[in-house]
Amino acid sequence: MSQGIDDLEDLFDNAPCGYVSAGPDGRITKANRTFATWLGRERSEFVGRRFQDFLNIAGKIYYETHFAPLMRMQGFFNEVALDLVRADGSRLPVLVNAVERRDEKGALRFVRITIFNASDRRRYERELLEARRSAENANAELQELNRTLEERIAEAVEARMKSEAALRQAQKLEAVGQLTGGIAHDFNNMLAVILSALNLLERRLAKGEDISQYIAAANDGASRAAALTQRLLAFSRQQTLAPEPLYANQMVAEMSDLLRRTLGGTVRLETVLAGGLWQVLTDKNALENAIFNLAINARDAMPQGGRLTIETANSHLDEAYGAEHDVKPGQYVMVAVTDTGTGMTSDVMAKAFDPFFTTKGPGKGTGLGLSQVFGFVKQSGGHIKIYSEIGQGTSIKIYLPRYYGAAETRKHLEAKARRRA
Amino acid sequence: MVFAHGFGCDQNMWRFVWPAFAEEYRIVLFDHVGCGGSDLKAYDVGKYTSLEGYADDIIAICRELDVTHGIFVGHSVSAMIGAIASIQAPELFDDLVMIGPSPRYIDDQEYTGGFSEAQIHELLDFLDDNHMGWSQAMATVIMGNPDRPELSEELINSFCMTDPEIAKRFARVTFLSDNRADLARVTARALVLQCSEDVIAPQAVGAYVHQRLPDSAFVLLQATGHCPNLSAPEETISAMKTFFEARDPERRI
Repeated sequence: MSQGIDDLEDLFDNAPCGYVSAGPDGRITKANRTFATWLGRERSEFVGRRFQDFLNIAGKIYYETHFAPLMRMQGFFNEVALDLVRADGSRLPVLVNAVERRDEKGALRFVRITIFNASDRRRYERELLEARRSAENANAELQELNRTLEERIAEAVEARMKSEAALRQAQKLEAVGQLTGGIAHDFNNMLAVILSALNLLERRLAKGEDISQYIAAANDGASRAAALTQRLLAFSRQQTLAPEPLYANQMVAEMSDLLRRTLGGTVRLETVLAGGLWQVLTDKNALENAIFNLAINARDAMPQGGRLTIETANSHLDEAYGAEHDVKPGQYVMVAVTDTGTGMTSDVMAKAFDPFFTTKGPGKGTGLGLSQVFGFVKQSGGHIKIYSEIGQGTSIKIYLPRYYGAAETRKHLEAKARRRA
Repeated sequence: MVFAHGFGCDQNMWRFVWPAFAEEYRIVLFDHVGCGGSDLKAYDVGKYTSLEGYADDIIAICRELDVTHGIFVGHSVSAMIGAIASIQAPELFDDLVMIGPSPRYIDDQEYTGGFSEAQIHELLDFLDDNHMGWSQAMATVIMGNPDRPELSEELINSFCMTDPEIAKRFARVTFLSDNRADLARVTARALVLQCSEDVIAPQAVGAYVHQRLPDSAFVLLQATGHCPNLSAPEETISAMKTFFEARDPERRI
């Protein structure tokens, strides 16, 4: 028996945790040796005092304001982090459990307080807190960086957009300059013809000589000036189209002489005209003008000479093609102008129909030719497409909607065309 | 009868006291903003940097409930909050019951508050440093309560569920407050209930409050600690009733 009690006392005194018993009034009745050793005090020093008397000031306040009420209301508390004060004034971090022991009638007998040394744990917690704080700081810095990064990107994008807008404006001005230069040059030439004709006219008239050729020259100069203004109007899409039913084959045939002369000796003209070609309803002058424009571009793309082919064909644009190229599906008459010239890069192809876009030198091209063609084709409800390969050549295909005229008219026109051919 | 809890708890700390007065009085219980079941979103850092912010809430509650000539029962820091409210709106309360009051916790020349300035700063540092240990311990305590089925889940979860950040600020406002000058301006009759061996509000402080109030009674309780409303509810109730009986028995809220 005595052996058993010794054993229990040894367990109590030398347990790896502190044990404190307090009476119903909160005063300590018993503390084990472990607890006394931790605090550097005699066991007898604890008796009659309260547990909170050995806490640091914050612990005292928290004990009174939080844990004592908690104890009273739920009868226990667990793992509360508190600091005890040793006899030498140093601190001992502990975790404290406390539980009320009551008798059968519910009266409070005593309070058992168990204390664990939490020096290591508190250190880990502090390190963890510090790690968390520095992680939070790093995160905050990163967020700040991200935030300013977004700002910097927004600024850069805005600057880029501004400079692009400025560039576009500059390009437009350059194009207008080129156009103005080209027009001035052309007009000057035409006026020179008219003026010199008038000058000669004046002199010959005084001598009573034949003046008809000078009148013809002045007429020609004035006509060309009028044609130029017509082209400018076409570019501004203000030209009046007078559509009529016509056969493209016939038109191409009629143009070939003029085209051959224009193309010069080094470029060979070939025409591949489809039999049974449908008729189209379009403005004859505008279509001629378009073919002429394309032919001149083709010629300029073949400075070393080459072959220019004008081809016609009946064509059907299906739903898929129509959806892809923003054109109404259906039957079209195709007129293609193909050269064996230098070809275009995809960049040039993308801009080829832009007004004022030109690859020719200043004063040579107005940048209006293809744009004018494009304007005419669109105004006629048609479609235009460029196929080109660098070094191989370029093919530009114009599609104009098929005209379903009265059979009689068509027969009549076909007969007429055959007679002409 | 309006009950106001102090730092560290919520209205649950009145659970052993208020039923004793429920027959005679209309009972008003509430949680300060940031404590218990209050709406944490209502916490305004600027408003609650002084006890006046809390006093304004009490005035608002009483006006909403049409409380006039009532009794205010305040524990710890709320004893002073109630005193401030009674100065600003004298019609609200005829009586103040101040349990463990302290107008200033830090010693100041001749005045004994119970704490040196260094000790209070140690407390505030503790709040800053020990955040994790403290809040985790509280979570364990509050959530793990299988042995006391008579405490409802709701009660367990709300009891002492103070937001740690708000608790920190409340502690700062409480322990750095100095409302000694307000005591002389209190017109309501007051009962000062002083505990024995109260580390937070020592006897000297209770005596000071009693002495400075124009009209007050002072009772030294047998109860030790800072929360006689929990540790010695019978003694607390008895002291209050004795005080009221000395008053006009016609008075009701």
